[in-house]
Amino acid sequence: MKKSLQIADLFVARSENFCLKIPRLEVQPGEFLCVTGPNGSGKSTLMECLCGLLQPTKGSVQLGRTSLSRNVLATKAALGYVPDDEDWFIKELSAREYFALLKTVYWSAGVTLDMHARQAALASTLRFSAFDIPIQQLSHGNKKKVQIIAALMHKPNFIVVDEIRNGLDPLAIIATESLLRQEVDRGACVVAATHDLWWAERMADTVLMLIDGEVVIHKPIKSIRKKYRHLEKAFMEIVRGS
Amino acid sequence: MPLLIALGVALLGHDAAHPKRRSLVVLTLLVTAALGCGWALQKAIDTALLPPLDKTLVFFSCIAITSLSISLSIILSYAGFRPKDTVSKLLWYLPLRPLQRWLYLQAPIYLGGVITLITICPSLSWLARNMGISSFYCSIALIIGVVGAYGFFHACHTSSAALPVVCLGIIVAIELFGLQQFAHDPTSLTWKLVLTGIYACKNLGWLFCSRRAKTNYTSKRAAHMIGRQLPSTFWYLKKVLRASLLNASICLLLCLGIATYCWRLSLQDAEMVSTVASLIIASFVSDLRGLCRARSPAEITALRGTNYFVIHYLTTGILAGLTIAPLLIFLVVLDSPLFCYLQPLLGIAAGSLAGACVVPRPRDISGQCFAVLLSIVFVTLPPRFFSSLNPLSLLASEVGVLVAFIFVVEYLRNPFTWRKS
Repeated sequence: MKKSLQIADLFVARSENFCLKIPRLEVQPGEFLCVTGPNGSGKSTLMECLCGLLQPTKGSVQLGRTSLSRNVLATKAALGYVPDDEDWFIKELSAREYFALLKTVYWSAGVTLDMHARQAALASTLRFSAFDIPIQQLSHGNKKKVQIIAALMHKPNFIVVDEIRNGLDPLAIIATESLLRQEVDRGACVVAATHDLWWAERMADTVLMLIDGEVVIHKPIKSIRKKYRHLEKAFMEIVRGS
Repeated sequence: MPLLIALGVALLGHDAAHPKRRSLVVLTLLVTAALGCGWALQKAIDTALLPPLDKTLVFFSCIAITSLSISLSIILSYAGFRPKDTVSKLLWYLPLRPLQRWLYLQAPIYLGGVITLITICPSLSWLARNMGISSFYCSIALIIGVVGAYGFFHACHTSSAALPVVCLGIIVAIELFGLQQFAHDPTSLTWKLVLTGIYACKNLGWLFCSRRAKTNYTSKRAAHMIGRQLPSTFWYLKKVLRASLLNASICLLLCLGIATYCWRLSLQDAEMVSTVASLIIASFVSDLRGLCRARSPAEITALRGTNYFVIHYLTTGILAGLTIAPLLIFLVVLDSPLFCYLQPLLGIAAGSLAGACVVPRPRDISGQCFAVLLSIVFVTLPPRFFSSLNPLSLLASEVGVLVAFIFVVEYLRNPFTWRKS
């Protein structure tokens, strides 16, 4: 049975001047949620909460029936994260070693999938071949490809991506889009933070817009189009009006 | 295991073109250097022409340094895998059991711990056997030092300021109790307790201060307040006063010195006090130099030309002298020979050299550690090889050698310093 991602009464106090408040959010299996908003609105904070990197001050993040804070291995193994930070690896290893390391960890957490084949398929789709160079010597785009392969290699049911297109070439962007669509079709919950509103409009089923840590829009893309014609127009009107 | 190896590569091969090769080379060098240091230390203590009590002092200093080194590795591990580091984040993200994750996060400690053990423990056990000291008590002292430092460090990081203060209070109280006992019964065992206590307090004091020193070595509130009160020409004093690490260290040393004096201990061995003063002053001077190195812009702008450079070293020496003043007063009470008053100069020179060689990062106490080690070597080794020389001439030549080294290191580091401004 596919499971949904749920947030209830989430409150994250990041500093004296900023806190993120999300009363309720649910991402259904097979749903693509785009999170957007101006700089400093709390997108990356939300992404970190969804991955368990940041403990909420109040409230909970549930993947299926399990709260993320309970650190159940199977739940954590069902999570894939592509961060915005380009150095989010053990960058001294080569991509091959890094993938091997991740496979060991996921296997010991109970993932039974053939991750070798999956890794090869993902690398071929993204046209990535620099397996034996230390990650720190890779280009920005190739580092992103390593992050994408690492996040999707174990077929996670919950995928969190933060500015996934940054640094990728057009071919890789198209390939990534198709990979994300495949994941959604497979029944995974995808949450993507982005500033690219046209991409969000093209990809998203639902849009969540944050301003100063608060939700200003949480609607299906269809209803946003109906009211504002485009997501960009909605963004401009709401942000300028706030 | 693969994850542990990966973390080792991340730690030792950081930012290298060939991380795996670099980490292997670094590990080999570290272990070789550790073995070499351990051997040198063993030889130095064993062959030094010292009275038995001084040997005991050096021995217990080694125990203190061991616990200090392990504390250092703990601090470095904190600096290595901080909660916001990418490796740390990755470990939080991956599906790992809590215990597994904790063990991986502590990986750098194993490295530091193993290297420290390789360095000192064989020498310590060998010496303990030779000196007739029970290895059981030795192990207990070592374990207490390490566990105390580790616990104190974690207490500092997990709670409010009250707990470390209470801990420090308890430690000082135990220290005073030891001193009181010593006043009534000046046996060598209590001396050991006193000396170990002094080092333990200093050690824990550093840990305590490392918590307070945060990332930039200075207290913002103090900096703001002092900045308004003192004119800009007193930049050096400002710098010293603003550094929480340093002024807490000064307070600790002064308290210990005054407490020692107030309890009116009937010390018989002035040379021992002088040796203690040398070791303390060495770490203190290295602290002062490290502080200035941590703020290079001030050094570059304020220390233009040779005069400024010399003045800076002189000020460091005078401040260090003031810090150990209570111990020097003690020497006056004991009516000590001139050599005892001058021996701390060796500490000042050793500390300055350590400060010149090691540029510590915030929260890094490797400079002090190196300074104390250097000081021990210079206090113990030369009398063995040049026993026919007058102690004062020997001291003068040792200081001369150290000053020459300082000159070379500083010249290589900052050639512009020697040009006329």
